[in-house]
Amino acid sequence: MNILVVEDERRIATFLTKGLTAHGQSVKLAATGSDALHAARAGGLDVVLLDLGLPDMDGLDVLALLRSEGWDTPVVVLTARAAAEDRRRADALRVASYLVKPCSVGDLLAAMSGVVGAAGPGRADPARPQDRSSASR
Amino acid sequence: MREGAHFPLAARALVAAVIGAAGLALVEPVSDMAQWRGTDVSALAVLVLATASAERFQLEIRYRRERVTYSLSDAIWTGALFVVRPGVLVIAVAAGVLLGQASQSWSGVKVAFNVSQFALGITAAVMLFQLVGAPPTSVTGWLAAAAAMALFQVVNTLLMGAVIALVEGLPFWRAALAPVGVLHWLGNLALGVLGAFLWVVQPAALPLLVVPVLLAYFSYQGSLEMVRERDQMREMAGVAGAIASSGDLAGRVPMPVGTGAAAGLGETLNRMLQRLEESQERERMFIRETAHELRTPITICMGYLDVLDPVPEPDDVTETFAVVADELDRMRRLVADMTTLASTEDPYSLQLAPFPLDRFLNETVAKAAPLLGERLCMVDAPPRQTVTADAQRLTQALINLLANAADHTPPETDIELRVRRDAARWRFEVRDGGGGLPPGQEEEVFRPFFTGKQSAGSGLGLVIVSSIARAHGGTAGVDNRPGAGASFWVEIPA
Repeated sequence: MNILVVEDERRIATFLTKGLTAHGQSVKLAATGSDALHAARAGGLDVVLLDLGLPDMDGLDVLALLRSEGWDTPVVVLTARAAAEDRRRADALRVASYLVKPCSVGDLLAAMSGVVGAAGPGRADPARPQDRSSASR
Repeated sequence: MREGAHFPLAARALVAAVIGAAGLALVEPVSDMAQWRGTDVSALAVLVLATASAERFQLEIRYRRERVTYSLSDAIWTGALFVVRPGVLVIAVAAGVLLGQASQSWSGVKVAFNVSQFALGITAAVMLFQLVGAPPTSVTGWLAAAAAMALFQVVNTLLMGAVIALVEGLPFWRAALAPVGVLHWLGNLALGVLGAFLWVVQPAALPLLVVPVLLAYFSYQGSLEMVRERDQMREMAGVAGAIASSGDLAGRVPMPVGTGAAAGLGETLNRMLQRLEESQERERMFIRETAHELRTPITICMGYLDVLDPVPEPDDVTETFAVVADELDRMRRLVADMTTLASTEDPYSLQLAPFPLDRFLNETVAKAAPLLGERLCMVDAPPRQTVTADAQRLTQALINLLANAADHTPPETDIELRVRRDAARWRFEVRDGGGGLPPGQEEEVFRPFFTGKQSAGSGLGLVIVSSIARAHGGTAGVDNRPGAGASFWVEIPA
């Protein structure tokens, strides 16, 4: 899968990149809302992993803007915000899955695999650690 | 009777019958007028005027939406039973009520009915009293007067009840059993008997009756006020109890009208509920935001451990350990600041004591040295002054302000600590030459976790400053100079 990880917290972005790459996924990073808009509009993505608390704009505002442009790539939200209002707004923006931090790379992969119809070429079973270790080398 | 109400046939018949009966009842007293002497005419004039005045100037006591009237008419008529000719009393009641009610802008039918039913009632009372005919100096006379005025009250209540029931469509018993002030009736009876007694024994003592009348009025008013406030407090207690049971702090107790003790209590209760509701909301928000703040370091720790290979490279282990230790330290600082905040918000934890300002500032500067080094300048501190405050808490507040300045300014800029005093307050100010705050954020920076991820702090530093200032009876704030710096300050009473 080609995954865009939108995450401003450097350490979270680092381990997500490491974990997802280890499972054979292709990862692009965006640390701000404007970077995310730019990367999403460039296309070629299977799924976007979106944080909501971005430094320059709210993640849901980023998504609303993209959806208004007809952009329909599946989105999985990964956020520290657990408020019902955020979930409702995310649902309205056709977010495929809303995950509240903390959650494991395995959970993330399961959520993303579920929303991308066909498995990507490097897709691995997150439940099998040997896949993860072999893929990381 | 309600003004303008539709008059059913039965009600019209009753009103006509009462007016007709009263006409007949007045025939005898009117024909008796030929026998009157001068004193009877004078008595009539006095009674008509007294009755009209009593009817016109009833003392009114309001209770919720009801009105309780305090009239001396019954007392006047009771006394008159003993001392005037029967015919004089009947005509005086009819004429007095007519005169008193005619000026009240009521309908002619209502006034005619009222006059008639009073005339009928007093005729019945006079007839009953005449059967005994005892003087006011005898117990028999008192009992006769009581029986006569009771009969008057019964006639009055039944006729009024009947007509109200017919006009309003209520069951007769509900209209007839409208509150009859038994104590009020008894008071008027006693007053009337006493008046007649004095008239016979010592008329010069009659003005003395004014005193018990006024006392009765004020005690009547006081007791009604008490009953009203008791009911209001019961109502408030009921609502407050329901709020306490449900835990729904958005509810408010009903506010009594007026400025009495119940109104004051209601206002205080509602202010307390408002504070509790705000406090509950702050607590919920704080828990939500604390959970939010803890999620990031937990996510990082879990994530780094999650992606660590089962057989890791030494560099990966070193990096993971360093990151996890650092994130754990972030959580430790957050928990430490939460503990500090909880203790600063406890008003009993404050230990106020006088201390020399010079020594306090030297110690604060020494503690801030690891944060700021040579960047910190003391400005304007008045020498040889004594401050009364909790020195430890105040130091904490200033260190937090200095750390905040260090965190948000370029490393080469100076940071000033200024201390000023006016008549009422000490002002401790940390002035920096950084970029200042974006306009509009002056209050938000004192909200928990406002600084968020971009700050090295826990997001509670300024909240703690504000809490310490409040605990001292003071305030904290910021004078913002967007693009040029900011002055964060704490003011406490001098």
